[in-house]
Amino acid sequence: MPRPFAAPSLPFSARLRAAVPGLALTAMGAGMAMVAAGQPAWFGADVGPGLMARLVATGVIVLGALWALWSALMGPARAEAGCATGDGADAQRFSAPALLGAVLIFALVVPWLGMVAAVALAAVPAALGAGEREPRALALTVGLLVALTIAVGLTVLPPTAPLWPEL
Amino acid sequence: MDLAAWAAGFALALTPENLLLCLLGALLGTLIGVLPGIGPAATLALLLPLTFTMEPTGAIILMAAIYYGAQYGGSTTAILLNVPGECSGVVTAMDGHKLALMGRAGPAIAVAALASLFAGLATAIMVATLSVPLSAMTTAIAPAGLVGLIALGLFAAAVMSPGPALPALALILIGAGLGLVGTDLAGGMPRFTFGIPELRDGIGFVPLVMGIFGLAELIRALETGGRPQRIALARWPWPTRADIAASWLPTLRGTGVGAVLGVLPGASTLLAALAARGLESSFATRDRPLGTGAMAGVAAPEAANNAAAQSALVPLLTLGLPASPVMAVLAGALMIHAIMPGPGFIAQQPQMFGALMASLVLGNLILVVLNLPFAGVWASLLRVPFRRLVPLIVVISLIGVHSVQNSMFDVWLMLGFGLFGWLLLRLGLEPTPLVLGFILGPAFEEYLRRTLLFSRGDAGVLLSDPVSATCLALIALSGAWMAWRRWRQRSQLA
Repeated sequence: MPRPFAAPSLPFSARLRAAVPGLALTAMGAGMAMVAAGQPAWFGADVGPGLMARLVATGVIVLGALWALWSALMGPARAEAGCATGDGADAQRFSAPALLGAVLIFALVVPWLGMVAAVALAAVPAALGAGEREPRALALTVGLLVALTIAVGLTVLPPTAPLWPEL
Repeated sequence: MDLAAWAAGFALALTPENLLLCLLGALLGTLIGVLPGIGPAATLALLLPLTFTMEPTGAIILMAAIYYGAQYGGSTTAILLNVPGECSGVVTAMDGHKLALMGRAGPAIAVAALASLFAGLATAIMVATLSVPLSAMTTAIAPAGLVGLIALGLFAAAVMSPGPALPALALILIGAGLGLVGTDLAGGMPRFTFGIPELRDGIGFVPLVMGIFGLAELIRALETGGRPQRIALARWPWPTRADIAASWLPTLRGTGVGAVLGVLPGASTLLAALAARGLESSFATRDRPLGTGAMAGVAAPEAANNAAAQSALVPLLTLGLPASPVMAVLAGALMIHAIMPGPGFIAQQPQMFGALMASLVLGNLILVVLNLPFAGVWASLLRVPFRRLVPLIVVISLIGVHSVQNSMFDVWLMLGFGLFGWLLLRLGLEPTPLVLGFILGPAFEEYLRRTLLFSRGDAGVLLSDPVSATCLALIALSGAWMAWRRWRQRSQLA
């Protein structure tokens, strides 16, 4: 008799690992439920601003728990779901800190130096994180992006866009 | 509209001034559609003061051309870079970008343009002839029915998303939860804003989508090394006979779905694109399975979103109900000229209505002439090594996010969503459904609230309303069937 709800050869640690995404969703749902509790769900018989948030949070908790249980029983989901493994031929292991760092630099620099300088500074980690290793190509990329920013800034963006440092 | 009215409409739309405005609007719309972040609603709002001095007919032709031009242009970045310029591009990207990775970006862009053209022309004729009866149909659907329709759309989105359906549903709900942040429309009080004034208007769509698609997806592509540095383009940049054969029926079905759904107040071009893709999943595709680079996955949503974009004019012109922010700006442009869109509009402004309908036909033709020859040119962007495209995508996303409201807060939000999206990917969760829930969640809440208001809090009305009951039954049956199929697959493996 086949036992469809059991992945027979999985050790406990693998089952626990498989359940992590579902547990993470449940935790997010719990966080949402805590936030949702700050708003009333009903005003008498009328719908309050917190009803939908509570329904949504409950749904996330239930679905997350179901997914955790399912994954623990059946083993990990298909690999195609998109987990980054970094095993490709051109895999860039530091792309996450580099690209997120590029956005961080842009956010920090724009108020001080303006958008053009911020783009120049942000383009460097973005290019390095993408695997650019040729100094000339890097300089050319930065130069072209600065030119693009100036062109877009002067033609498409509103005049209030902070292109240059405020003097 | 009879033939004489069509002729009068074309005569007015074909004046050099109006033709030029239509061309200008189509060009500008394509440009803002290609650039992610700068959406048509923001552009129309920015251009609104320019229309003060224009003739009302010219103003409305210009603005409408920008709108459907953006629908055309939005598919280009979705296909080439997996960065949707418009929200409905999220659906096109699912198959369109896979085609681009296979070196077939040119045919994909061309099929998108042709499907949009057909949908645009067919819907223009439909809007002109069926405006009044269609508007009567929309008013017959109760809010409970709309709750059911949106729930069905969200369920279909979860089923069609890459990866398992259960976490996709959870992510749709998380997206819907994010959509609740901001001022509560019923009570006028801020909710879930944590005292941050910038959140009173809600979380912006652009920072969310740029964080998740512009950043997290890029990081995934770089970390896995799964995206080749250079994509060898297929030698023939135009659709083959096989491509046309694979896409003409999906185009017809997408046009029908989009034309009907666009009429419903609150149903967006995204919902139309999703529904069209959902419908295609129940038909066999001629080339490849849906989700792996099928032409049907490009043609159906593109036809649907263009058809919905144009049929959204029906509730605006016949009932005075703007179905989307863009329609609200269009309504504003009309009101500036003391023209009230609504039940009396067609009777009081037959010339303007005729010219608008004619401009829809002309605008769609202009757009194909503008876009089709450039399909190969756009596709050649993929010859640029990926490592050199990445900084370009990041910079365009940053400029786009910042420019929407001239706000640094949006850039910080983009960073936060980029990080969140990347963490989801590390957990093996596909973040796309989150975006869909974010867009459709607030509409769902609005109709749920109305339903419960009318029924004095009795949720049983969702089961007694025929439209809602049918949708909920479809969801329950599909869910049960999927669970049973999965269980059976497992039992066969065991």
